[in-house]
This record gives sequence, C-alpha cells and structure tokens, in this order.
Amino acid sequence: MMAFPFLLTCFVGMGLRYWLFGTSLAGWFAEQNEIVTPLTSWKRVTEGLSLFNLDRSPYEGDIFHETPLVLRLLNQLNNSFGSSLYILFMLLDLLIAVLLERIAKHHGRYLLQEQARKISEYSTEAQDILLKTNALQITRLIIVAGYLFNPYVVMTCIAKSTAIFNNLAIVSAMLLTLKGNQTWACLWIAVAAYLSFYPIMLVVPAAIFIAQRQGTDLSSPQCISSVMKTVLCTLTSLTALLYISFTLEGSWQFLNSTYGFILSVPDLTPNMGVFWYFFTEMFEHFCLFFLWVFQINAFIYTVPLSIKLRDQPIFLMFMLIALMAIFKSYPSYADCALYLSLIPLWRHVLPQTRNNFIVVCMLMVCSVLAPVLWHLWIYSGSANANFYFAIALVFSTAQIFLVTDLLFAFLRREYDLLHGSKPLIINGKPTEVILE
Amino acid sequence: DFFDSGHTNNWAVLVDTSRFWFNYRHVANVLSMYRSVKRLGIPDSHIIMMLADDMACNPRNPRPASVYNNANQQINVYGDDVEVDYRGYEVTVENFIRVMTGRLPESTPRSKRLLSDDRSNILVYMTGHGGDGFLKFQDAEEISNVEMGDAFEQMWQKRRYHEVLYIIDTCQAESMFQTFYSPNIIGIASSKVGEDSLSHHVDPAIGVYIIDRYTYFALEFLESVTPDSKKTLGQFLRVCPKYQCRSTVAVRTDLFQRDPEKVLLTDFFGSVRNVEITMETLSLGNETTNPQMSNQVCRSVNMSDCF
Amino acid sequence: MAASIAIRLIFFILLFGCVFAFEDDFHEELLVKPMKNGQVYTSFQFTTTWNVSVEDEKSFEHYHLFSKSLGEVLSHYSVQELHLSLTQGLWHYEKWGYPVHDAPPGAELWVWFRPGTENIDQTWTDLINVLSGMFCASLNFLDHRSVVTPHLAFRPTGVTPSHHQRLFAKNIRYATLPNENVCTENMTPWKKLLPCGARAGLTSLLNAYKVYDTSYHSLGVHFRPICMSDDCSVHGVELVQSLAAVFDPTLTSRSQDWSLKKLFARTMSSSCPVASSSIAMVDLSSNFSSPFTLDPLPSREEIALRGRIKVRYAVYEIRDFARNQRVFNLAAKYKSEMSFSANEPPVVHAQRFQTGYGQAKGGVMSLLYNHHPKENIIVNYLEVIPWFCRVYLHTLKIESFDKTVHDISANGTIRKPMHFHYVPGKDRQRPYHLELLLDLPPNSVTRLSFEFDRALLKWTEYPPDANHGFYIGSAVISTVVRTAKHINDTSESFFLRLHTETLLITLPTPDFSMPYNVICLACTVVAIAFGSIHNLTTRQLIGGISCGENAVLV
Repeated sequence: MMAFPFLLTCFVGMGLRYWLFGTSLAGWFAEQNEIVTPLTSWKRVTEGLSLFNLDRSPYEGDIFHETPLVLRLLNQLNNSFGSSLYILFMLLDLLIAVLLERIAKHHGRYLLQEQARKISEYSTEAQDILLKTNALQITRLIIVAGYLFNPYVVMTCIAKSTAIFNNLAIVSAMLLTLKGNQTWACLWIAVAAYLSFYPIMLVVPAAIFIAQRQGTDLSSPQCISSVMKTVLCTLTSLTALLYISFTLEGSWQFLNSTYGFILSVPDLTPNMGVFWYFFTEMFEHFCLFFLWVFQINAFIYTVPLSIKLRDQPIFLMFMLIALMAIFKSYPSYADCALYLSLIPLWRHVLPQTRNNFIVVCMLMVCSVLAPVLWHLWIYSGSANANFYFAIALVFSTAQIFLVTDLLFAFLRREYDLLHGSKPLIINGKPTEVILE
Repeated sequence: DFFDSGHTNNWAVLVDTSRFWFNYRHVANVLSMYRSVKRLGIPDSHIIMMLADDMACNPRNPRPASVYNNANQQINVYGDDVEVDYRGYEVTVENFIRVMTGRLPESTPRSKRLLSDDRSNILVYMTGHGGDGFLKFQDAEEISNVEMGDAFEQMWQKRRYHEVLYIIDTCQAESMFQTFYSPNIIGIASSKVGEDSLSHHVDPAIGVYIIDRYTYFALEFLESVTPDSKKTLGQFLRVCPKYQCRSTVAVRTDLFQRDPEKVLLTDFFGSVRNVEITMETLSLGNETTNPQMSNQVCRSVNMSDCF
Repeated sequence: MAASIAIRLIFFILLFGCVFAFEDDFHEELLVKPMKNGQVYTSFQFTTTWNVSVEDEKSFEHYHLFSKSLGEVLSHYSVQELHLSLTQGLWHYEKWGYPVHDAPPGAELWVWFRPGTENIDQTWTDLINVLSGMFCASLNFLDHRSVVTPHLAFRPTGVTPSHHQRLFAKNIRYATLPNENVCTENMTPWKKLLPCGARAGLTSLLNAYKVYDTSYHSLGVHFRPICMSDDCSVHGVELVQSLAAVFDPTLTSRSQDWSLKKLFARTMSSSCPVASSSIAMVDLSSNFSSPFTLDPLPSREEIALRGRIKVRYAVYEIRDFARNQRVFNLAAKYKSEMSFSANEPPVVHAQRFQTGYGQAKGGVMSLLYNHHPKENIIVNYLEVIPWFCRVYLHTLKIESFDKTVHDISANGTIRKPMHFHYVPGKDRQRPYHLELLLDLPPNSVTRLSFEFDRALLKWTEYPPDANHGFYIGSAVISTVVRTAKHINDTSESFFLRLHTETLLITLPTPDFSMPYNVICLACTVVAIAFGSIHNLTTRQLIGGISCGENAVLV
C-alpha cells in the first residue's frame, strides 16, 4: 500500500540529485561556506588523499581534518568509485532516507506503546490530541519525502560534504537506540563522536532510553547498571576507534588536527554559525576564556534537558541533535538539515508551536541572502563581513526560535494530555497556560 | 662644577606614529628633531627613532632619499647618514612602551633599546594624529595619556631617567601630559585641549603638507642653537607664539624641579660634555688600582680621553 | 734597468706576501654595464678576505679590515655562511640579462649555520633580531611564520665542512620579506661595515639621492668561508658587500651618454688607501650595437670567457688616477644620439602571476622559459607561500608548450616533476614550502600553477594597512646552465639563481571598528538560547488566568 509512493519519492529524489550533479551547481555548492566547512569540504579531502597517496601524513598541514579511519575509507572509496563518486553520495543519502523511514516506523510504535501505557493518567478531555495509527503511517512517507526534498539536504549531497557520514552515524545510532540494541547503538554513537566529537552527548538519551526498557524507574539498580553499561560501552568503542587510528597513523598527531581543530577553532572561515566572526573580532587576551564559554555552551544543555525530558529520551535526543547543529564550532546546512528532517517525527506537537511563520521566513531569507551577501563582500566589494555575519546571526536565531518553540510545544502537549486540551474556564474567563 | 645639570648622558626617543603618504608632515616633524639632536651631538646609538612609514624612498616622493622641511627645499631633514630603529609595522604602542620601560625581549639589539640610567636626560618627541587623551598609532591602535603617564612612572621607579623633556605635536596635545605624575618631566605640547594643531604649508611638487607649524618653528629655533650656545629651555618654551602656530603652545613645568630659564637647551638636545683643563697634577692615590674608579677619575679629568 | 725594477718589485711583493700572509685583504670593484636599451647597470663590489677559519671561534677576536660589528655577530651565532639582500624594484631578465648578485624585491636572508649548532631555530630568531638592528630593516619579521629550510634551492657557496655532511644539510634557513622598503637608512649601516666607510674610494660615489632615484637598486652582504690556498688546506672567510643600481640616463637628457658624474652626481678623487686593488670595469658588449667611446682611456682591456662567449671589458686601475691627483670621472660618449636595440632574452627566465578573482580563492601561475634551442635545462623551483594562503597541492599542474604557442590557456604536455619536496603550512606557525625539480624542454614555456584559499585572520593579525594587501615572496629558480651570456664566468657551465615577481594579494578583512558590537550581538544570540531553555526546563507549565500583569494561579 505504502510501497508505491515511497518508491516514487526515492526515485524522484535520486533523479533530482543525479540531474543536479550534472549541472554547474555542483561545483558552486562545493565551495559555498554555508554548505561545506573546513571540516567537511570535499576539496580538503582531496588534498588530504593526495598527500596520503604521496606517503605524507595529511595531518602535518592544516588543510585536512578528517579522522584517520575516514581518511582510509575515503581513499578506498575514491579509488574504487573514481569519477562516479557522486553515486556514492546519492546512495548514502538514500540510505539515510531509508533509515529515517525505519526510525519513523519504530518511533511511531514506541509512541503508541507509551500512549497506551500512560492513557490512564491522561485527562478525558485530551481525546482529540491522542495519536492515531494511520497518522503515524503517513509520517513515514513524510519523513522520507521531507529528507529527500529538503533543499539543505540536496545541497549538502551535491556539494559532496563529508558531513553525510556524520549524519549517517547519528541516524543509525538513533534507529538502533529505538530498536533497543544496546551494543550497536553505543557503537554508532561512538562512531558519530569519533567523526565530529559533539555527538558524544547523545550517549545520555540513549542510555536513558535503553535503561527505561529495563524498568520504568530510573533509580532502580537494573536501570543504573544499564546506564553504566551504555556509557562504558560507548567509551570503550570510542577508545578502540581512537586506538585503531593511532596504530594506523603511528602517532597521536591526528588528535590535534581533528578534535583540536574542532575545539580551538583556529580556522575562521565564515560559516552560518556564531564562532567565526566572534573569534575574529575578539580581543587577544579574552580568546581562551570565550572559547571555553562557547564550547561549554554547546554541551551544557544536556544537563537541564536530560532532567526535564528524562521520560522522553527520544525527544531529548532530537533536542540535542538540534542544539549541536546550532552551537558546534563549524556548523553547516548539513547539520541543520538533519534535525529539520527529524521534525516530522513530532508532527503531533506542531499545532502547539507559535513561531512557525517567523522561523520559516527567517530561514528562507537567510538561505537566499547568505550567498548574495557573500558575493557582495568577497567578489564585488560593496558589502563587508558584518553583512554576512548578520545573516549568520539571524540564521542561528531562527534555529534557536525553532528549537525552543518545539520544546515548548512538546511540553505544552504533555501538559494538555494531563489537563485536557480545552482551556479551563474559571469565573467566566478562560485560563492561560503559563510558565511558573 | 660642571655637573650642575646632574646628567651624564643624553638620549632621544623620536616617534612618528602615522603611516601613509598624506602624513608626510609627521615624518618630516620627527626628522627635523632628529637632525637637530644629531647635529647637537647625540649619536645615533643614543637616538631611538620610530618612523611608521618610509617617506624618503616612497615611490610618490619626487625627490628620492630626501625629506624636506620646506617647499624651498632649504633643509633635507632626512640627511644622508640616517638610522631608523623601528620602522613600518614595528611602530606599535606595545613596542613604544617596551622601549620606554626597557622590557624588551632578550634578543633585541642594543640599537633598539633605550639603555638609559638615572643620570640620563631624555628627550621624548612624539607626533601623529591625536585627540583628547590619546595619540593614534598607524590608524590601528592608540596610546592613552594614562598609559603614557604610567610608562613614565615606571621609568622613574626603575631609575631610567634623570630628567625628561616631553614634546608632542598633535591635536589637543596638552591632554597627553596632563596625567603625568612622575617627577622631573617638563612637557611641551603644540596645542591646548580643544585646539587643533595645524600644518605649516604644502609643497606643490610633493602634493601634501610637508611639516607641522609647531615643529617648523621649533626647528627654525633649533637651527640657531650650537653645541656651545647658551640658549635656555625657557627660550625654547616660548617658541611658536599663537600668531605663528595658530594654536596655543601648552607647557607643563610643575613636575620639573629646576627653573627652565636657567636650563641650557643642550641639556636635552645636545650631548655636551664640559671639559675643564687643569694645570695641577691630581693625586689619584690608591684609587687607580680599582679600574672602575680610575675610569671615573679619568672622566672628570679629561673626558676626551675616554671617548 | 726596467728588468731590475721589475725584479725588485716582484721581490717586494713576495716579501709583503710573506709578512702579511695572515692578514686580511680588501678589494673594491665597480662594474658598469651599458645596456642595449640605454639603461646603465652599475654594480659595486667590496670584498674583504681574511684568513681565519670560521670554525675557530678564537680567531674572531682581533680585527683589522674585517668589520668588527659584523664579525662578532657571525661568530657568536655560529654562522657558516650568510647572504642578505635589500632590494627595491624588479630585475627585468628579458631586458637586462642576469645580474652579478641576484636578489628579489624586498629583503632576502639565507644563512647556513655551522655544524653542531644547537637549537638552530632559536639562533635564527636571535640572529634576525640582531641583523634588524644592524641594518635598520624589519628583518625581525622573518620569524617562524616565514622561514623555511630549503631542500635543493640553496647550496653553500663557500667551503663546506668536510664532516657532518648529512647533519649540515638541515642547517640552512631561508626567509624573505617582500614588502621591505630600502632607503638611505639601510645604506648608512652598510657603508659603516666597509674599512674606508663612505669617505674614500668607490664608496664616495655612493650618493643616496641618485642611487635611490633608479628603477632598481639592491644592497647585499655575502659572507662565506673560502679556500686561501690552491689545495684548500688553509681556510679563510670572505665578506662581499655589493650594491647594484640600474640608471636610465636617457630620462634626464636626450642622449645616451653617461658618466659617473651624471649617474652619481659625484666623481672620485681618492682611492681607499687600505684597498689592495681598486678597479672599475666597463662591459663593452653593447659597444657593437650602439658604439661609444670611453673617456679616459682604460688602463687595459681584458677578455673574459662567459660560457663559450667572449666579453671585452675596459679596466681602470683607479689608484693610478688617484696617484696622479686626477679626478676619476668615467664617461661614455655615444656616436649616435639614441640607438636602442632589443636584448636577446637570456637562456632561462620566468614570470609569475596571480590568478583568480575575489577574496576567497586564488592561484599562482608561473611561466618558466627555456630559450635554449637544443638542450633541456633542469631547474629547481622553490615557492614559499605564507600560511594565510592555504595551498592545495592536488591542484598543482605542470604543463609545457612550444615557445611559438601564444595562447597560454591552451592545454600543453603534462609534465611530472623529477623531484618533489613539500612541507605543508600550518596556521600561524609555518609557511607552505614547495620545491620542484623540473626538466624544461628546449625552446619551450612551462606553465606551473596551483590554487589556494585565502584565510580570514583575527583582527589583531592584520597590519595597519590591511587593505593594501599581503605579499607573497618571489619564487626562486636555481639551475646550472651551459651557455649563458651576461655572466662573468669562465667555466663551461655555471650556477644561476633567478627570482620571480612578488605577488600582492588581498585577504578578506573583518570590520576593524566592530569588536564590541560583534561580541555583544553574538553573546545575545547565545543568551536567547540559554535563556529560553533555562526557562522551559526549570519551570513548569501551569494553568492560570491572566489579569493584566498579575496572573492568578489555579
């Protein structure tokens, strides 16, 4: 029943990519700072591979920042695919789309289970906001179409950004977590962390989710041991990956070129984040302090969100993926695209959001203006860095609005489930729901 | 008693803080001072000169290897044996403060150090674009009068000077020494707070203003000074009255302990050693066994032997 | 009678030779080369030789003619060989042939340190600081961000230590400062190193107003250990101070005639008394195309063989003139008022360009010419690119064309370098260093190109004139050629070093007036996220009635 539209979506999505790869847009996207960063640029990968093939360590210089295992994998792929490498990127995109469809399926099942478990606690007036099975069915198609036709995803794919590997790892980790497959979930989180460092925080929602399958009470001994197991398993896998890299590379030099590069932000190439211009303009003696502030900021949200959303670990995972995309040191459309594609999983909370229109307008305006202002600054010399940074700030603000709005909507729906979706009338006046 | 001024050596720190061709006049200002102090006897090794740009060999200079103070090309203030210690990008606030306070990296050569002591009279001359309480360096950074005052206090505490003559030719120049609080400094500024310092005239061949008013008249005065002249600092303080400068030359003498009218100008601009020839034989006694002491005695007996 | 005088002279010379065998020697030399396009190349060379060994530190204690200030520095920083040049203007190889000492625009310094020097990088840092003070140049900017250890491009020019050869190979440091200005303030300390200073001899010609009014001028200091005996059992050191300038006498008058007075606005009335020899030479090779007569008549004519080609020089012994109390004013008078002819291009030369547009990406392209009709020429190409141009090695392309092909954008024959040395740059630490050994086919142009990305720097890393741009130093081409004109060398083949143009690139700049605004705005955005999430996670949703400002809770 679902098979035909699903296949059609995939087919059209792939066709679109194939067509775009043939146009000059591919070369243009590959150089756009909003789409690729120094971490994910294919041009830099090519440089790294050519140095690697000359028997030189690509980590000697400051151009290549991929990890040693990725270096070897890409070298292998580059050698076997050759000039048709773009097919690989198309296939990876398709694979992510398929994984997202599986996530939608498992997530829908999980939501219904949770709903069934908690239905007794829900208010009787919350009937109309309860989830329906066929609505969840359609989500599976929406999420695939939403991914394959998301312009950010398409641009990332066409630009051959290596962020696609990172996204694949995160999506796999999410799917395996949903399936409750502890070992594999841990391994994939470790892979994602190995690739881009920030996803290490995903271990928290994964641990909570897997522990909750053991028993609902998080403080029970089984749960604690399960959490410990998840954390240990992830850390072991990560250590193993790093150690393998070390043995392949023969030195720890790569750490400085990869994680050192991510954490100390030496490359101030403009992008859509807040780091680059901030550290360009920062006074010399405050640089280190603000580096710590900004990097801690990227991780700090894990703590309050884990406490608040301890009963909804998958939503917690989504929140962390989104915040990571906003506050990582070299963000790009690829990171943004990933969490935008996951939003259909929470289609049911969207009616409660308040800023949709503003956010969509802001994102659209930014996406159009960013390349325009870049051109004005770099090529025609009639604008300056402030213009481009302003757009980057608006883009970040839009994302922050979106994420906080989703969090609010999610909490509001939880509230409505318990208290009924219709406002209480007291003394003839409708009550409002407020934060206290 | 020929050490009544109390100093044994002279230093000069001459700073031009402006870059770019249209600031030709600031370089000419500094070179005017350089010419005077060199002519009056301070050797290049005792002059720290900072020039933020190369005007003499600038491609836009129609007369290469020369900088004139006057459209009639009366004086080539650049000279033909000039030595510049800090130039171009090296002229920064940090380097200036480091030179003054002596906190330079170990490998800094002697020619780039102010190796003064508590018997040194230092002439500090600065010019550039400034405002109320600051002087810009190369349009990129600025030194404030508070920093300037602290630098002198540090020098005083480290016994790096005996007396300082501080001259500054910039807009609102007076503000730069209002915050000084260390003793033995006499300050001269080309303008009061709220006033602009003006340039003197344009050389049509060069196409830009070539010197500032205050320095132009100061150089005119200094040209009449010879190493043995008895012109006093007091006379120098009256250089460039309002009808010439179009700004009021401001002076600060409250930190200075001597009467400027009795201070020879060559105490700061020259390196004059008084030599007294005695006919009597001085008994040096056992002191000659101590080389340090014999050197001292030698100094007071006949300076020319030591130099 | 004459014979007996000659014998006595020889005897005296021998006697002096024995007595002063352990002394130093000073020679001064001026080469004037009128060129076919009317310009006049003058090259001064002051050579001090001293028979002390660089390896023996004690020998650098008693100075005679050798400059003490420089000698102390060289021995303290264990310098084996030092070459410094301060140049303004570009040497046009096609028009002017090869110079005596080749130098790129700006400052160039390369130093070989003695074997066994500990911590060469630190020694280099100290040395550049000392030299910057000594020559009034900003050489202290030649720090680790611009210095490289060339692989093949620079070999020692003097005697090399016989042992520790392999260790010694890494003891070289090379750096350039392409934007360095050169003016009187650099010539003053340079003159002070000479035994006669600026007072007597050829140096008295050096008039800054004239020397710096030329299209090319270059100051040089070259120190190296040399052999003092034929079997090289006795080592000595040699200090060559050079000054070159290219004058254009046709600019000021409508004639090609030149004289020392016209060029330098000075004449020479004395020779340096401590100089062992004091010579002026005029290259007569352009005398065939545009004939001129020299006044006074030369002391003698000499023929030198330059790679199979004979070149005639008119030689003047300046001391003969000084002894006779005559003012020495060398002058050339041309038969015709103006007669120019095109110069035959030299065997190897190169041009370099910047490619691309905008401030994000860019590229460098070099064209290497081999004009030899039959022979391949092997050249070593050295490129040092500052770290803020992030070079992509995989974009390096080497193609060669027939010289007759004018469309240089066409595809040529792809060439592989014979040898390849690459050290990738690191941000704020070291430059990109590329060395290639290329085989240039006869009568060809070889195009070499690569691309780079321009970095956005921190605002404090920009110089005060950030929008003026940043310089990339000259590429260095070193080669051994068999036949070349314009070089004073009698051997069959000789070593050549050429420098290409420097490049001026613009980098993207931030707004220098905005630090506070940027810091505030960026922090605000972070605060929005932090504030909202803090709000939503630390508070609970509660139903209530909103009554203006006070909400009634249920």
